Amino acid sequence: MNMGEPAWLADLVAVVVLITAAYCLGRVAVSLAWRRPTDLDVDLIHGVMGIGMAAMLVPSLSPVPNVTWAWVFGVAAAWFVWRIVAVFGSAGTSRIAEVHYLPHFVMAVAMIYMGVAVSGPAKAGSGGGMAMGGSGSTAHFPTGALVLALLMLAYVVWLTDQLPGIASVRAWRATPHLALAGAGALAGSAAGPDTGVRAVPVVRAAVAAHPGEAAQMESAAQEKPDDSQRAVPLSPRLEAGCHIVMAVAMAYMLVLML
Amino acid sequence: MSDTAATGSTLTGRLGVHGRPGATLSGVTWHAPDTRRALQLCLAAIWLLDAVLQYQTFMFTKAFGQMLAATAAGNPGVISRPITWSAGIIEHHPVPINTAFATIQLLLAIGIALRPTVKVALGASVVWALAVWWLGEGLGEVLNSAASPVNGAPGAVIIYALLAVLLWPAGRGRAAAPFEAARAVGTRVAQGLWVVLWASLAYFSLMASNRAPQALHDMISGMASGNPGWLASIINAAARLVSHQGLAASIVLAVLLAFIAVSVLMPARLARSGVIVAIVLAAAIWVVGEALGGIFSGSGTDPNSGPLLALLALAYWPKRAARAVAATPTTTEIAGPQAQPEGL
Repeated sequence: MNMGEPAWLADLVAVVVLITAAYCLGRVAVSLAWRRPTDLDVDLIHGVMGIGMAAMLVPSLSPVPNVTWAWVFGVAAAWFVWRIVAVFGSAGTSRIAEVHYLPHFVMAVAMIYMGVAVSGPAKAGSGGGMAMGGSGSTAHFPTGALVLALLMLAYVVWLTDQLPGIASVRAWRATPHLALAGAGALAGSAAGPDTGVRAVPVVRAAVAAHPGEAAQMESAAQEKPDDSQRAVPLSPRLEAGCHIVMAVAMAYMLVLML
Repeated sequence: MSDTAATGSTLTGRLGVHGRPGATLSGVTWHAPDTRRALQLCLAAIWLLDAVLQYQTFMFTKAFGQMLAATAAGNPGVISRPITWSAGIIEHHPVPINTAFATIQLLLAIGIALRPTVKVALGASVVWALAVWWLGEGLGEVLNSAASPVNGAPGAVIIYALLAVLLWPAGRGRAAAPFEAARAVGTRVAQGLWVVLWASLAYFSLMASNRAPQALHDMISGMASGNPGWLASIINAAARLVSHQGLAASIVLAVLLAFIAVSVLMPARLARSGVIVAIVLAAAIWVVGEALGGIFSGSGTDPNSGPLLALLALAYWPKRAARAVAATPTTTEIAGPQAQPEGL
C-alpha cells in the first residue's frame, strides 16, 4: 500500500463500508434467527450496498461488472419507491415515517449513478471495477454527482442531529409496553392510526424513524402479547450510525467523481 | 401532528399514567430543529462538505502545500512568514497532515450536528477557522490589495468563525432578539459585525485592482475552465457582461453591498430587503465569481464564501415583531419544552 497515493484512502473507505455491510447483513441474520425487529429491507440493501461501494472503490474486489451493480440498485430503488408510496398511502403515519425511505432511495440512485456514469480505464483483471480513488476516473455528468453528494451530506447532518433522540435498546427494554404501543401507532397498519397511544408522543417519535421495526414489533406483540421482551428491536441507533457511515462514504465517492 | 403539538408540558404525567412513574426514557426524545438549530445544521453540512473535499486526491499531494504557500504573497512579513513555514511542512508531509486536516473538519461537522457536542464543536471551529484563515488563506488577501467580494474576500473560513459565534447556543432569555444572530451576542454587536463585513466588501470592490476595465471580466472568465458546460456558459456570459465595464460594475456592486451593510439598521421591511439582496448576491457570486467554490476542479478545498454569506444573511432575517416577543423554543409533536436542550 503506497501511502503517498490516495488509493490507500480508497482502500480504507472500502474496509469501513465492508465492515458496515457485514454488520447490516448480520442484523438481518439475527433478526430472522431470533425474531428481533429491524428494518429488514433497509439492512439487507445496505449490506449489498456496502459490498457494491467497496467493489467500486477497489476494483480488484468487484465480483461483477459495474453495470450489474446498477441493475441491482435499480431494483433496490424501485423497492424503496414502492415503500414510499405505501407509507404515503397509509393513514396515521407521521411526517418522519413518510420520509423514512426517501434517503435510502436516493442512496440507491447514487449507486446506479456511480455504476453507469463513470468512465475511465478499468484496471486489468479488475472485473470491471471503476477504480475510484486515484485512477483519474471522471463522470459523464458531474453535476449529478455533486447534487447526490450534497443530498448525502444533508442526510448525514439530519440523521446525526436526530441520533441522540433515537430510541436506545435500553429504553425499549425499560418500557416495552410503551414501546409496543408506540409501535402500533406508528406502524399504522394492523392497529390503525388511532389506538390511543397518541398520548405517548415520545415513544411515538422514537419509533417514527423506524416504521419497519414498529410494524414488526406490532406483529410480534400480537403474536406473543406476553412475551414483549422478545420484541425489543436491534439497536436503532447502530442502524442510524451505519446509515451515517454509508452516506459519508458515498458522498466521498461522489466527490471523487467530480 | 396537531394533537401532540403542545404535549410537552403534559408529557411526564402521561408517561406516569401509561408507563412507570418518573420513567425518563432517556434518549428517546427527538427535537425538530428550530431556526437556530436549522442554521447550525446548515453550518455543519458546509463543514462536512469541506471535509469531504479535503479528502480529494489533490490535497494529498505537494501541490496542496504549494497552493497554501502562494497565499503568503503580498502579505506583511509577520503574516507571511508563518504561512510559508507551515506550508513548507505541509508540502513535505502532505499525506498525514492533510489526513489530519480533513478528519478535524469531519469531526467539527459531526460535532456541530450532534446536539450534545455542539458547543465544543462550535468553539473548536472558531479556533480552527482562525488558524486556517491565517495559515491557509493568507487572511483572505485583505492586506495585499487583491481582495474582492467576487473571489471570496474576506476569506470563506473567517465566515465560518463568524457564524459559529453568531449561532452559539443562546439562552431563552434572548428569544425576543430581532433576528437569530442577535441571540448569542446581542443586537448591537450582531449589527456591528454585519455592517463591518458587508461594508468591507463594498470597500474591497472599489479598490483600484477591482476597478480596472477588465479586472472583473478577467477574474470571472478565469473561473470557467474545468467546469461543466452549463456552469462554464453562465460564467462566460457573466464575464462578457462586465467586459470593459470594470468601474461601472464595481460601483454597482459597492452600492449593493453598502445597502446590505446598512439595511440591518433599518426598519424590518428594509432589513428583509437587505437580507434578500444579500442572499441573491451571495448566490450570484458563488456561481459566477467562485464557480461553486471550484468544486469541479478537483482542487477546491471548500465551497468558498457564497453559501456562507447566504447562511449568514439567513441568520439576520428579521423576525416578525409579535413572534419575536412571544418566541419560545420550537418543539414538535414529540418533544416538550422541558425536554428541549437549553438554547440549542
